[in-house]
Amino acid sequence: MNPNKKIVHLIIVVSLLFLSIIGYLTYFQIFQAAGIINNPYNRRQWAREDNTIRGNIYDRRGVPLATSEVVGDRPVRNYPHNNLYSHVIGYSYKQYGRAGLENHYNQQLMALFPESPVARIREQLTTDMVRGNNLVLTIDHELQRKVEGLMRGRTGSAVAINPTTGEVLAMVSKPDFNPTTLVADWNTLINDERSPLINRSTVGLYPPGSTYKVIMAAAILENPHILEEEYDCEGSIVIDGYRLSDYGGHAHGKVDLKDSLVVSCNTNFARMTVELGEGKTRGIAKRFFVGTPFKSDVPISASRFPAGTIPTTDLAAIGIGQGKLLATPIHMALIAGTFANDGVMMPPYLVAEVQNPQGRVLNTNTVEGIEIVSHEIAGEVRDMMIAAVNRGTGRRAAIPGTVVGGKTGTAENATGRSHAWFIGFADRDETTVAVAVILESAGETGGAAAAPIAGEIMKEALRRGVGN
Amino acid sequence: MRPISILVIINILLFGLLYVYTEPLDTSILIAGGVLTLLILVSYIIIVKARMGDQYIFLLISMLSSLGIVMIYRLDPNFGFRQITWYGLGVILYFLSYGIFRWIRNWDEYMYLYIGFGIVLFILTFTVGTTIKGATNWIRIGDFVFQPAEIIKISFIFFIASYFTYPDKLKNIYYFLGISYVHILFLVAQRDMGMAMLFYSIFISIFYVFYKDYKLVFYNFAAAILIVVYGYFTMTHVQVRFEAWINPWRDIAGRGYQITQSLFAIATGGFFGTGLGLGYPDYIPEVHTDFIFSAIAEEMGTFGAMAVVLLYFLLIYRSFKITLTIQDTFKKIIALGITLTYSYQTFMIIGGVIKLIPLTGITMPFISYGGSALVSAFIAFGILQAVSKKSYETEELMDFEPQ
Repeated sequence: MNPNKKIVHLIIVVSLLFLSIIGYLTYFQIFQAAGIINNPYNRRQWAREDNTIRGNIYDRRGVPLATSEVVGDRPVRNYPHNNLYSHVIGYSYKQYGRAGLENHYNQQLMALFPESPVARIREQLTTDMVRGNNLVLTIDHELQRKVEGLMRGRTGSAVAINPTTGEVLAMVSKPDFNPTTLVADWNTLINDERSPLINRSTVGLYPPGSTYKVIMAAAILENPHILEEEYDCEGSIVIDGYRLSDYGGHAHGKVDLKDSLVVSCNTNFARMTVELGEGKTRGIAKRFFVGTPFKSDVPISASRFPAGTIPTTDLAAIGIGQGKLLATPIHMALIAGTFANDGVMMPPYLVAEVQNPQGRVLNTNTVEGIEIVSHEIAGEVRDMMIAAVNRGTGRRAAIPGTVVGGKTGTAENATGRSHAWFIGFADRDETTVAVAVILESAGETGGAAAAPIAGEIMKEALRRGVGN
Repeated sequence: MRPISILVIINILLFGLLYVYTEPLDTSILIAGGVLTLLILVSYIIIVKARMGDQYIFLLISMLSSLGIVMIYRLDPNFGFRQITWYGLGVILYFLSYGIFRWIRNWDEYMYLYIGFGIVLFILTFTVGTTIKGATNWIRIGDFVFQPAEIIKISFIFFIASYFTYPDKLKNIYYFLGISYVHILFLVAQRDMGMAMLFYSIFISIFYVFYKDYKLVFYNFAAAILIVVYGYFTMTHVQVRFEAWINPWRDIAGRGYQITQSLFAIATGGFFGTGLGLGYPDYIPEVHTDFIFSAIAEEMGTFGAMAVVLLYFLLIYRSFKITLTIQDTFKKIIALGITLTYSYQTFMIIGGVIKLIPLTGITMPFISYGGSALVSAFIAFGILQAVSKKSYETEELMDFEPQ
């Protein structure tokens, strides 16, 4: 063969090599660069930290929640409300890195990507400090304070959202920490067995217990043949050789689906779930994002649904929210909210707006709803949840003169002391709010311990009219 | 606009920027920039007036060198000045090698000399060599160290070219293969894996083009892969490099340090860069030699870095073009060898610092700081310039031939 022909092969090889460099650089800048810049080992960040005034963070009505000022020639971060926003806002320290919104919105708070290349040049030519962008949150400061007060001294989480928009109105995780004194407290905090640094609301995974029955109720309503035979609850049921009991072994007698939800009848839900079968149980879970991650502006741990073939006894356990099911509190609030919002789930978000230092809005967060169940099915489950508060296990969440619905849960777990759950919603004058409250290892029922807290939260939210 | 005018304008802008950025104002920068630009201008005029063949090669390497000098100067003014001196020496050697290559006519007859030259230099490196950064591949003469492999690169190409011109000089092809592998093994023994890879790539590519038996080419290729795999399991320094490539984030403070610092720089620069003098490239170890591309990417942006890649591509395109037009086998292989050396070397170092391929300590042609690398690159391209004169004369003759 003529050598020139083979040289052309080499030209092609070399061209491809060079093309791969250009292609990889482009890929790197578009898909990887943002993540790499935020790596705490990137010393450039901290070099920039010394001449950037981090943006302020405000609640939905403009109350400052985190501010920056210049002391001497260095910017200093202030957290005026100390523990109140430990998990929502988090912290930013050279020694210990960043957490919460300080971490997830670091690019905006530090103005790492200026509005335009020209803006960046302008900021570098002036010797003044760079000002970061401000965040306006969906959080309502007064509601947050109320929720924190209700949860004080407990271990667990409480989340309030507006189910019609996805806005997170309040989010509290206990125990918490003080971001202002974090550096001094660090050793105590990391050695604390109750893990105060963890945001239980978004990354805490708990068995949902009976609160999961609202999802199963929707699945059963979609398959009405299961409802045909009448069920007589005897306080326990044997499935595949295992005995499954109602709370306190209490027999509920003849119950239909609505009654089963109102009194939280384990045996009937276990029976109906087994009858529904694995496929449909998995299907409804998947639609509600149990086992798959959902979108949000802050990272939220994906709830867990067992993989692989599920034995019948495990399937029965899933029907009452036990077994290998795990869910985050914020996810449970979304599930309750879905039934209050005609079967449409709104992905949650914490930051309403990003504003430049002059107050011009750079970015507004909006989310699109996802239809999970039909309008009719959502309506029926909603009615059942209202009945559960009016005459069932959730009575202590009731608010006079207001439509309140919910579901309690008393979840068994490895600690031996059950978690107390309440998820629900309240509706008044076009204002809707959905909540999830969990008290870790409370040793009490959800109806006794969590429902009153949830009721107070919803009452305050409606009073402040934040849910519209 | 003519390419030389573009080069002059860019140099004025770069050195002007450097002058404004340095505090306190230092007129020596402007003088240095002026001297450099004048040197380029005079050399270019000589090349055009004396009809020395291709007119773009010298412009392209001067453009790359200017970028390198500005970047090195910005990192460390002392190194910047020294690099200008090296550039001046390089230009002299460029014309010298052009002249010598054309003056001596029978280059293809000294195969044993090329073999001997390479082997002796390798042995010298072992006996009187100095170890820098874990590789015993430097020779110290007085105050000044140089890397013999940079020169052996050229003698290696001459050896391959003279063999394929007169294959009967060696008893059979296996002698040729043996001598080639001796070169590569010396580099492996010096723990200079980047150079070994480069030598091997040049060897196998020319072997592919000029050897008729595909089977033997394939066997050599397959054997090389086996050797790399074997090397990975037997040599810890190869493993370290490989692991630092697969996941540098696992050990950012240790093995992954260099490459992650490089990636931080490139990521921070974004598409438009921070601007000359406004980034923090000095956080990267070895930034003025191996990692200078990352510094360019940080301060001139990914678009600037891509422009550098395209400049190299233009240079290589010109070189391949010259290679294709030459009829003489010896000169064709010389041109091909030089072209491939700088193609592969550029790919290996840029690919390494952007984490496309494992990092091998090799310099970036014309841009990295370093005397021996810059000088040998100028010698190599001086030879290519000499070869191009012949090729352009034939091309012109062919153009005027009646159809």
